[in-house]
Amino acid sequence: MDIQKVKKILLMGNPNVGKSVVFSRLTGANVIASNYPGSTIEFTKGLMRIEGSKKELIDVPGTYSLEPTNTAEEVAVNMLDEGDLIINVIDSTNLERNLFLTLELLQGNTPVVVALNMWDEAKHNGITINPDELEKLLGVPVVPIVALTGEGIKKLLSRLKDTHTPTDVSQSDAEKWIHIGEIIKKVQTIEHRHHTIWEKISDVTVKPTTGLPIGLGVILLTFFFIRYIGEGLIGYVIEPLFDLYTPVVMEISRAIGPGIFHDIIIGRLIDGNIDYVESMGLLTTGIFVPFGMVLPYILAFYFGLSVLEDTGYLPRLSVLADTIFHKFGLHGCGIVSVFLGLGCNVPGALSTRILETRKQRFISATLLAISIPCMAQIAMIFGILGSYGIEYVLLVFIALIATYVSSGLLLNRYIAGESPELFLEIPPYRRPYGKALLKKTWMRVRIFLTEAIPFVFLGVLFINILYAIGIIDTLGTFFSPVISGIWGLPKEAAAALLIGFLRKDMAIGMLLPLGMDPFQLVIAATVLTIYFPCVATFAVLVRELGIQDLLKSVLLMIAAAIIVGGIMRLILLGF
Amino acid sequence: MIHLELTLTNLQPKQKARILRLEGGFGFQKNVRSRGILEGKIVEVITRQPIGGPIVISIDKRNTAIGRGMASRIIVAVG
Repeated sequence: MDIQKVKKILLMGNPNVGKSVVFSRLTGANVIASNYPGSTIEFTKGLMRIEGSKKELIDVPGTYSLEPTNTAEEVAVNMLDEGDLIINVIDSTNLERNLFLTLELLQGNTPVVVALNMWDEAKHNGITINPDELEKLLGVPVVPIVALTGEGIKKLLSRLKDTHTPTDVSQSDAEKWIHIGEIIKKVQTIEHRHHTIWEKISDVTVKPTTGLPIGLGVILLTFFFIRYIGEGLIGYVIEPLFDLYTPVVMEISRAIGPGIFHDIIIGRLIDGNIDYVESMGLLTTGIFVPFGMVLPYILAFYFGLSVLEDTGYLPRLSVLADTIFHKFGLHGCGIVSVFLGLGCNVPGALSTRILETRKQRFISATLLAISIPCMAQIAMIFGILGSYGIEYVLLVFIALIATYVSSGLLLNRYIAGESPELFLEIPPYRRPYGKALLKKTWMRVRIFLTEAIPFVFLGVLFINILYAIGIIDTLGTFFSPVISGIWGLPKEAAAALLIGFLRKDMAIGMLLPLGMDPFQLVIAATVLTIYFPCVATFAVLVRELGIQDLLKSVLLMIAAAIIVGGIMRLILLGF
Repeated sequence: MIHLELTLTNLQPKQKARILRLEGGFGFQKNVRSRGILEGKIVEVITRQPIGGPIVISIDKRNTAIGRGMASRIIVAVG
């Protein structure tokens, strides 16, 4: 076929075939390459060059067949019509199953080229495939590759032009499986190999008796890793940098002189000094909260999460968590939204697409918005409560977990619809690819930087204007029956609740100057998590749930905030 | 030789069986087959999660977790 006429190329295949690694090889762009089924939910686009002309390469969500079972797979099927050429990535260690999608693709009108990925692993497992014979039988180019090392990628590109629009063959599913059986007999031989150590570890980590303690250990280890790295970065990198920065800001402060302009740029001086958390100026709090308090933990978190994903551990956690999540009307995959949400609620909300039914997506998204704090928020909760003792931080988390569980039980009961069972492939453990790991961490951190910084600045600006025109006071008085009456907080906390809509991390910082006792801080931090999602998450929820379901969800959030905050007040503060 | 017909849910960990047929609608059957769970394949149960949790099975050295409801519609023969 004429490769010059090709504009869009689709990368398609089953989940866990290393499709995203192929994608990053071909484009060299920053992309998420992951082992977890459905993680490439928002498809990624990139540019590639073939024989001097630019093509668009689209990384289509992984799918087992062209009969979609969830919205992520629906995306995959809908994209079929857009491509001029399909690169079908196959896991060589699992040829038979992968060929079903291949035969389905060959029934369409788009030319296909087959890439036999993980060629090295197949050899290692005693699997021999004859690619020339397979090419003859399928009638399209077949190229063995190892995406991790780049082996065969050049050959793959040079063979793209050798394909053609498929000749019309119509086969029923049953005929396809018979056809596949015949193909396998001719092209593949398997030599029996004993269980490898990784296969044994795989079994141990998914059996409940050993898997549950290991899972708990992995989660705790990840938590301590994040804290250790985050604190290390703050102590050895961030604080020395801000020590250098302070004299510069003080100089600017003197140059500006007092007035509203000073309040916005530098903020209020406390005893003649800058207080990076309380001053509320663009160059002080606006810089310090995102870079000084949040970024180090975000970096550590996303690195840790990427390791869990790329090694293939997450699906095992999903299986172990399945029984519990069923009680909430979800299944084990719901834990993925929780994990992603702990980084940032936005990808967390997007990941609800891997769930099959509307009921599941609604429950998963609502629970996420109600009771999962993002890393930025968690870092700030540790920042303001940690100094009083770790038990206060724990109180917040216990309250949030209790909220998640009780809301989940209630929603499962009262939301109509089906909750299908878990049906999840558990990929073999794989050694993560260092470069992909770093690229992925960087891509996620970059999203934080570009999304968070503007909102923090906007928040600082907004709060200064609101204070200047006296709106905060009015709002505080208006909402004081709830804020003071039910939650037992000073009515000035209204300002934090307002800013919490823009950035929750900033909002928690704003609680500090209000002179609350630690128990009040615990209540305020919990309520700030529950009452409403931040604006970025809200925007995603509008898209994912639709206006009507979102309104329902918002009502639930407000109700949960009032009830949970009220109960905590009764327990922690008394009347 | 007598073949004992069971469903996947009847198998205990480490037990192996051959898949005889799938029961259920077209969509279910297609979905299950596209994951490599095919008639004639040898299936081994790796583990059963407690309290009605999913069963982890291995076919062609590839592991899949499957809910008990779905597993009960997969008919197998032991021996």
